[in-house]
Amino acid sequence: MGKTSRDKRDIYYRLAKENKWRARSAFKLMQIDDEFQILKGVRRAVDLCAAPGSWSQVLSKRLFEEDKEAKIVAIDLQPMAPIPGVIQLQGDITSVDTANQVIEHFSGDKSDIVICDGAPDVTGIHSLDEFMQAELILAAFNITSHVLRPGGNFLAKIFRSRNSSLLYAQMKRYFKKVYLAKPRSSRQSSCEAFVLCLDYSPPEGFVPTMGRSSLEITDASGVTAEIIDGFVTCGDLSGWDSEKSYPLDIHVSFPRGESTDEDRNRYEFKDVVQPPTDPAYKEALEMKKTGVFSNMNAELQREVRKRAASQDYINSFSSKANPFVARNRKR
Amino acid sequence: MEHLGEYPLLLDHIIQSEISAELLLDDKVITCAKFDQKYAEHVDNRLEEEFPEHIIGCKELDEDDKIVTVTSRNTLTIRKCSDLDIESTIQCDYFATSICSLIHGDSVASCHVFFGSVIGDLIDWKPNKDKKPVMRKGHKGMIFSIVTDETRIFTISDDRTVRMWLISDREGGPICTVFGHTARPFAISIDTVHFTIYTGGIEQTLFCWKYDNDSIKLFQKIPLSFGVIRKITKIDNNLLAISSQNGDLLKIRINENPYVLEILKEDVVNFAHLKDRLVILTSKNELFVYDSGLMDRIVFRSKEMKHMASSEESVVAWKDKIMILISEGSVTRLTLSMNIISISVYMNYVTIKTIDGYIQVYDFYDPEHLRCLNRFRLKNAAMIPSVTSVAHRTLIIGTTHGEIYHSDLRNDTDKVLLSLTRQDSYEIFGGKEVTCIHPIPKTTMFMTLGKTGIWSTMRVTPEDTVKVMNSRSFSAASRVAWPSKFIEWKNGQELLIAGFYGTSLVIWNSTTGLPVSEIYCGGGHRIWQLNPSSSDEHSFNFDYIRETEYCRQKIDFTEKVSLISTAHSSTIFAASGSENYLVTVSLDGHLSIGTNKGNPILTMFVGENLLSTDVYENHGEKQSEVFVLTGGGKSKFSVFRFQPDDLKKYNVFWLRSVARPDEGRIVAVKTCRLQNQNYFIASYSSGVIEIFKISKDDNNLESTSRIEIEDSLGIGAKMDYCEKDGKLFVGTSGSYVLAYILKENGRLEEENKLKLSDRSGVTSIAISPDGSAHFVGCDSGHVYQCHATETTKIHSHLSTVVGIVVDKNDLVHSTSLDCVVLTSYEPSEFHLRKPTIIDMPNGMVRTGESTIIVVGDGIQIMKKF
Repeated sequence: MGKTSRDKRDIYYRLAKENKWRARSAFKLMQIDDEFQILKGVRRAVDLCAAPGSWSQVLSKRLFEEDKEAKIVAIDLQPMAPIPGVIQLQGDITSVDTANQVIEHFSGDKSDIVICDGAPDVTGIHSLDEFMQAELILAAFNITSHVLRPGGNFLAKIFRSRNSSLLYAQMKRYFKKVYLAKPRSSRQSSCEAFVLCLDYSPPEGFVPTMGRSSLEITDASGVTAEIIDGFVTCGDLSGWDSEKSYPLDIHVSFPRGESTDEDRNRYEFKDVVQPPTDPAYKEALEMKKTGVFSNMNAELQREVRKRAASQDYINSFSSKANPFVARNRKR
Repeated sequence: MEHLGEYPLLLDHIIQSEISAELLLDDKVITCAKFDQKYAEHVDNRLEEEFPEHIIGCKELDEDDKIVTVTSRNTLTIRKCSDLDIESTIQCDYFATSICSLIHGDSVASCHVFFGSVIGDLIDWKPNKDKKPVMRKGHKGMIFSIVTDETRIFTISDDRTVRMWLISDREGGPICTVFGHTARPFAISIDTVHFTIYTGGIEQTLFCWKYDNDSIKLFQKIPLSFGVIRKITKIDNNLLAISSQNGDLLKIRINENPYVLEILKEDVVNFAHLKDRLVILTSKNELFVYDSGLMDRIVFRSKEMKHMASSEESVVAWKDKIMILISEGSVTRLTLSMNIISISVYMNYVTIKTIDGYIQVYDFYDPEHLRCLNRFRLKNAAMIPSVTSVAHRTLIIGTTHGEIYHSDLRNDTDKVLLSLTRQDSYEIFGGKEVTCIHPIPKTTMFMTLGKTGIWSTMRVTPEDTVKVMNSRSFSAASRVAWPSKFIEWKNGQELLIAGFYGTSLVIWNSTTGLPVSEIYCGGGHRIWQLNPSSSDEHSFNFDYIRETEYCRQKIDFTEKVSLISTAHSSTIFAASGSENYLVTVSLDGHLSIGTNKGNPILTMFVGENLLSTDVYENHGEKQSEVFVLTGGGKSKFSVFRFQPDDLKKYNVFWLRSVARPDEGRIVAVKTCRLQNQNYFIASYSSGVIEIFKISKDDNNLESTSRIEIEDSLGIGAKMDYCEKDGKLFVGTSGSYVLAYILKENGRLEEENKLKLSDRSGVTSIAISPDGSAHFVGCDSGHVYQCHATETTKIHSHLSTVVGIVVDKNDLVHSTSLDCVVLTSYEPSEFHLRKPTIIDMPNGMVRTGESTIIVVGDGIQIMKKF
């Protein structure tokens, strides 16, 4: 839902590529963690909608590399390449079976944190995109209510729009603190932000369910900005700025101020755009590449010409409404 | 539904909502589009009911007097027709989100529902019969729309295919799958009478397909250049209403045989209409002048004529040394001493190039006293005059090599001057032919077109030089590759540009900035005329020579009518307002300068990815001047300058651009005035701020200085200028507000640096009318009032603040991505809160005294609070 097209001068895309993160969003989780220490002491973590796996990579680095006993479960409908210390679960987050499998992996215990960086496939139809985003978060919350221990934390991406306040109000019912976090690596010109819910404490008698199909709060007009406990910009303000364009040939692939001449010499600019591996339009794309569509257009043009020619014939010889033609031909 | 054409907003609403036209019940309209208040705002009596789910389909079941709705969560709700009371709700046993549906059947018992899901499943469900729905596989991406002809259904999907399925064969896959779209198709519509389906989407092209029992075949593609197609609705026989993502609405009559061609005469090599008369040059070198287009009576004939050139007022034919000039009332024959190479003609002026390389200009106004106005020879002997015109007593000649010459007709000298510098000539004409010179009546200005596709305006100065006022190109979506002629329409009120794109004639309305018509005419026919039909101002006769046939195609402008139109074919990204103007820009590269109520005056393509704009009015003692700035993703910074009357009457403005490719995007622009000098400031995403002014010769923008914002402060994201004390305030992405003093030498001197307690970046900035305070809005949703070193939080939104307006009563209004406008006096506990109609606001500005305008996926004019 970013408003402007990706720029190859975008520093975080380039840093991600250079440092082998699978997506630039890895920086977002790291910056949120740096601010809130949400991964501190975590031994069990769940990453929802994990593919392509950049957040799982961060979990692996910050949890598994520190503590080999830490367990991380990454769930997605799509398969993804293995990551050390991450158990991959190819499944549907709306299914109770998936929730049970997560708990099995944690040997019956519940998770300390659930994170979700998922986003719907954006269509550009605002009301529909907003709805699908709300659906996704609702589904993420439903499974979270099954697998998160009381006192645990939940972090999910949201696109701030007309009715986002309803979601904050809803989360406030189940968590003691709800923050809106905006990492520096997320562009200001994007409506993207992260809702960080701390200290899970469901109301008494609450029974987790996957069947919750809509938010319990439906009227946004009464929800004010005080519903959240704060908007927090995460990340070092003197660090890389996602709004800024940096020159292409600088020492950006290395932490600021730490690059050597040798590093800079081996720097090679890499394209930041990573196309989807198996898009729905793969076949159409292949046809376009192999010239099928060009041929189709040429054929269409030929037919148009043919139709135009046959139309001339009709008009020249049979139309009484066109007296000049007959007269001119006689002459 | 035809009568709805008179109510475009209502029609748009019905088309945008997933609702069938039949749900118009006794003057009542049932709609089910959430938050779509565009229509509702205009309704006196309305009853609103909100449903928690996203409704994706609705149908009236005649037999039972019921209305059924289906939702994205695959539920079916049956309601009473009379009051919409719910009778029952049935949940389909399928849980992926659906985004489109089709309800088939006329009763609850026979109701048959199809859902198209986000993962590409086509769900076939009979709510009263099936325990489990049937999943029909085939599509590989989300299904965007479903239609039926009662026995078959047709679907369109993200996998770019159109598929046809039999309703009866529930276990079978698609019976036909066709490709054709190269980008997401969103809409499909069916015409069961003509076995035709229409599809469209991101390509901005209407695809017309014919279908039969087992096949679908593409037979026509109609480019619309009108934004992403969202919905196609059949209104009547061959009449479609098409709505676009940015809220535009188009009515289009589909003509299955748009290429109807009349052959008026054979063996013709050239022709020209001179009002009622028709001049024909045949392949046997005979010249005929007929008294009318009917070719009944010959009023003049001449043998041995080989070539012919024409303008709207006169025709000239020649062979070797002999030439004949035909104007409306006279025929003049002239024999020169040299053989003629080429001639161009304008009214009574004829420019002749002879074999000795000389160019002579004759005035035929009084054939008895023929005058040779100029005789000159150019350095480049290969150059041939391609077009001649006269603008306010100045003769202007365009050449095949992209140069312009001019001569003052009031002097009796042979002095002919090269009008433009080599660089200007190359930038505008690229060394290619000048195709048209069109004088602007009552001024010393004229407009030119060239084969490079550049449209330029120039002015003859009192010093007898020619200055370029502006030059512009057509956007890729406009499809005018070779603009050739200006054609006045509606008695000169509107100006059309006719040109070619591939094998089509393209007609474009320069006044509205919209394409009017595109018609196939084959390639290579470039002897043509476009004349208004005598019977109807909306139809034109396109006459041209095809091989040796004199042909005619009729063009009906009413075939495509814009019912609602913004200049933008994508979301408006930024806006600026002043007393009399509203200026908007969009990522598709279009700029619209409109009145303070948003009615467009000038719309034009400036360059891709426009991100920022600013408008400034300078009410001088003698005359007013208006400056408009634009900047964008490709670092092109443009300055427009115009006098209000010139823009209104003649569409004339001055435009210059500079590009800084190394500086990234232009994120903010601002005009500053200091001691009668205007400075134009651009802030780049590289962190640099550059100041420009117009050069002394009025010909260029020159840079007066540049500063680089310290890396740790971020980039200059928003700027506002206080003319009273010459201060420029810059809000940065690093959460600082920097105050600069603008100096007379065009330099900025830093005065103050204010760190906001909020660590999020500045996303909007505004100065109060008296200059006493400035206000900044942040990504966090907070709005602060800032004095020198102090800040006070005055508004809190839940999302990025995209606009702040302070009116003359010190009321502060701010809006954010929450789609809410908050209003308060300076620090105050009490806020007024008003939701916006715009779904994704990108800016809020003030125009006039107190009109507040919110822009985004449309323009909303909010009444005074």
